[in-house]
Amino acid sequence: MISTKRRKLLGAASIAVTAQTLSSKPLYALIGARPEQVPPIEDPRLKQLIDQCLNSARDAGADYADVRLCHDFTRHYISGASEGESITIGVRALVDGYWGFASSPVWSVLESVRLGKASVLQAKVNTIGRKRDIDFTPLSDQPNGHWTMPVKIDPFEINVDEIEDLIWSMMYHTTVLSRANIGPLKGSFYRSEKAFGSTEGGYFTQRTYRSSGKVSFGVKNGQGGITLDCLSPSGVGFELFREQDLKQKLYEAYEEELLASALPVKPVDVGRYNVVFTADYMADLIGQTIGGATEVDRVMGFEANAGGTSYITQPDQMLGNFKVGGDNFTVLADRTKHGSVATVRWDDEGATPVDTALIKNGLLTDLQTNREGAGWLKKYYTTQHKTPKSNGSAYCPTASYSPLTHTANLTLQHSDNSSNFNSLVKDVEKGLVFTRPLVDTDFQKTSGFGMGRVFEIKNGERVALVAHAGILFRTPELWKSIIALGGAESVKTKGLKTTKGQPARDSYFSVTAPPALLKDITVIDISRKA
Amino acid sequence: MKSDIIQNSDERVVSEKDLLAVCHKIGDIGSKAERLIMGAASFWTGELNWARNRVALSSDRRGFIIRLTVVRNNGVGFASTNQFDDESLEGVYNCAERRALRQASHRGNDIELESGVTDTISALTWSDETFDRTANQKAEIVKDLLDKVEDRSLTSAGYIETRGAVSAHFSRDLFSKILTSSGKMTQAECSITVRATDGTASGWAGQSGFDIGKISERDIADTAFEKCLKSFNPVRIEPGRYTAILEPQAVADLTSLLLHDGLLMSRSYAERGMGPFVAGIDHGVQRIRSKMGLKIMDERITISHDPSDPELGVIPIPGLKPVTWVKNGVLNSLAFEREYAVNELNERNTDIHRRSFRMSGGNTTIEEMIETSQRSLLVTRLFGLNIIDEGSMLSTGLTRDGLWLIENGKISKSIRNFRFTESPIFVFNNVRQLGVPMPVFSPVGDPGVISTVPHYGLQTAIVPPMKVDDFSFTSAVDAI
Repeated sequence: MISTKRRKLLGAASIAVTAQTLSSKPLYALIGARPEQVPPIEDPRLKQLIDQCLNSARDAGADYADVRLCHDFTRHYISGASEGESITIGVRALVDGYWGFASSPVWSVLESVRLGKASVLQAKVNTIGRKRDIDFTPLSDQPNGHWTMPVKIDPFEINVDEIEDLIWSMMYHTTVLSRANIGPLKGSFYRSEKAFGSTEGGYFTQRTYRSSGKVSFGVKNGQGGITLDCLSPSGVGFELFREQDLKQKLYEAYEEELLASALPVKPVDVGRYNVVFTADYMADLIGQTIGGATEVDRVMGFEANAGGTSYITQPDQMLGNFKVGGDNFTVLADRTKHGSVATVRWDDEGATPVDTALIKNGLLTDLQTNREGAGWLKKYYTTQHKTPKSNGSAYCPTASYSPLTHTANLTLQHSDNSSNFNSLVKDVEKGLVFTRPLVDTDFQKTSGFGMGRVFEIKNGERVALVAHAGILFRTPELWKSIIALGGAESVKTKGLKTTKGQPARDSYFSVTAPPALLKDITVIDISRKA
Repeated sequence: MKSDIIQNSDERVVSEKDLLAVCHKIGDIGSKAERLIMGAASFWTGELNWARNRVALSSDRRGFIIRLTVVRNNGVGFASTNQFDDESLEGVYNCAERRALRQASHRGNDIELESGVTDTISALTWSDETFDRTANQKAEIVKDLLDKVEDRSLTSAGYIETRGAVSAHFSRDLFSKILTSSGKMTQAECSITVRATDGTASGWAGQSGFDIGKISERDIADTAFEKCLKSFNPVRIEPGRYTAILEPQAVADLTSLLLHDGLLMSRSYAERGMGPFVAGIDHGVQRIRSKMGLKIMDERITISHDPSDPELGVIPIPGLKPVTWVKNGVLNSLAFEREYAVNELNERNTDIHRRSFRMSGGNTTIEEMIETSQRSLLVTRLFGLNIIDEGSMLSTGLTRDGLWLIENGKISKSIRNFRFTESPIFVFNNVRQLGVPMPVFSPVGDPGVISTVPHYGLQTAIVPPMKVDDFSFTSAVDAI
């Protein structure tokens, strides 16, 4: 039985809310005549709710509007254990080239109507300014239908004991290892259900997942703790834990740690070195230097007051001409790869993602775009005999936020040979190995530095740990320095988190990369001052 | 809960009284809980975002949240909800309780609770002007700025946000003693970047605080504009150790390395031998001593936080009392939670960590710092700070949006940005001159966090400009 107060809340739709809900009772919405449990996202009546909102925006004067309904679930296990569930609705309206946005967590007809009007009001107040031209590129096809990310085990549909037991077992395995110190232990699962509709007529629903975990431990007298790198954010379900032999990986990591801590530690001798980066490290380098730098809004200066801009300063001139790396450097963007965390069927503007070569044989060939951003590149696309259209990079974490261009899944193309990390190391007579990345770049992604655990290589063997070693790089020079890339069997996929925008919002993307050997990398003593 | 709080669709936030009623209702539902803590908040944000000399987005977002912590059978459960009807309140309690019972065998009763302090501190953190600032008013201000910037063939990006929040806090301890408090706050932030259209010059300015009446968007725009104009044609100079004049924003950025990390500022962390405030082993009692009582900075520096200081914008909550972290250069206090207070100090009061702070200053103006410099650098702000070594606080980062060389008492040229490798503790031991403290910019974070745990979420800073010796700039960067 729904209380009177509850009905008033939903009916009045006055308290606009953004929050997470953990409830052993389901959330409620007012879709029909009376409050009811929030239905599955595929419920056709949600389209009616969205249509109410779109009609309201259209009647208020919107040239275009789109609406998102989000129903999100989170569950965290062990460290920071909690559960959450939220519903949100957000509407974005375009009036004379200006965007307005309004959001709330109340799913009701009255609230939809209010939000539709409010978003138009927000857009209209800015039309007092100079004319804003917008080329809102059309979609190839209007989105239609439902899609569920293919996961094997929905972590919200299985017994929580099963999840907790498996994660706790990692602690058991860690504690039975002599000399091991257990660190944070965590499993996190996220399910997002979205419904989208626009005044162009498109309507879709989709369900996506994100799973991740953390198992950290250290070795007494070692050089610090280590974290299993196989549990980074992924577009899968509970199989992230169940289908990996975590016990085996734990023991391997432990043995690796013991071997490393047995090596002598020497101070860094600054200079230029041939460096082998693990696949894990390469993923971070790609994410930092290519991910944000090729987001079209960042390139065009929309992040100038926040995270920064890009080394791609003149996209019309640089696209098709600028060498970001050597001939062996090709980076692809996609939102279609199974298991990757940014994968969707439609983006948050209803665009079907298109696999895109951002960098082909070292040459900058495209950017990550949304519908408006593709219009900014019209001149370049015309020279390429392409119709400007979004490649599907629009994303918002919940309906509380308007969509921005966010980094898609990235793939650094591997070599055709059978090289792997060990064979790359074997080929180095004198050099360094960088593992456990901590990489950061400047606010234009032009240059950066990296730290981590660093080994000295002599005659193909790791012979010492190098203290305080770091790298300094300029992005184009870095990617022109690749001597060798690992083959298909050596690639790893890693999920990364990034933040952009004002207000700041998070997104996740996967990077697939092989290990690589790079020449003449500037190695510094990170602890040395000027 | 009274239903009239939802009757008027013009209401953007609910009242303190109604939020407390929600808390008490959960308290009634959770009568079996050994301990119960919750924070409830209702909030609204209005945002205006622009780039390339046009408004990119104007938005209106509203929210409500209850964060709930339940202790049952020595287990701890956390939950939150955005619903305040009877069913949802019961639901969120049940869920937290279920989590607590599930955790019981693993966690133990180690939760850090409110201190038990009964007195709350009143603070004036509400500004009608902030809450009433309309999208139209923001649009008018931004229009004038953009016209000016565009007429000079420059380009601008920026952000103005105003926010209002009402919050209530409730705790019930093992002895069924209930403590409640409530308050309301506004927050405002404005930051503006003006750049050359070809990206070869950039100027920035920003400020935040609870009262937008004290934040002049037009002054901020003028500062960013002037900084951009002065930044054209930057030259590259050699990295090295320079006397640096750090504008207040740069001082705040540097100080945030210490003050924004709860672990580094934790007494128990230091006494476990970690972080920058480890003095060494006290052989008498065979335990690690922190640097409390030892001089760690220039004696002119005092760093403090007073929750009744409206400029720092904290809603009063039980257990939050004034603290002076550094007093005349001496490490005076480090944060500690209830568990530490009870076990180590045999008391109930805590000094919980908070990110807002006020730093003492002097009377020297930036102009005087420049005039008295033979050769130094003027730094607008810092970006991308990373700690390299916790023990020494050696860190790296970048200068951004305005860096100039000063020669013979005058700004001689704009220079390319630097990466630096430096420790804030080293810097604050090499202070030559201090200016008058002033509020700077700090992004207002997640409204749910700010409203329910403002001592953690707010990062307001009031700091002076500072001239320091031997600041270590380690490499040049091309980014502008």
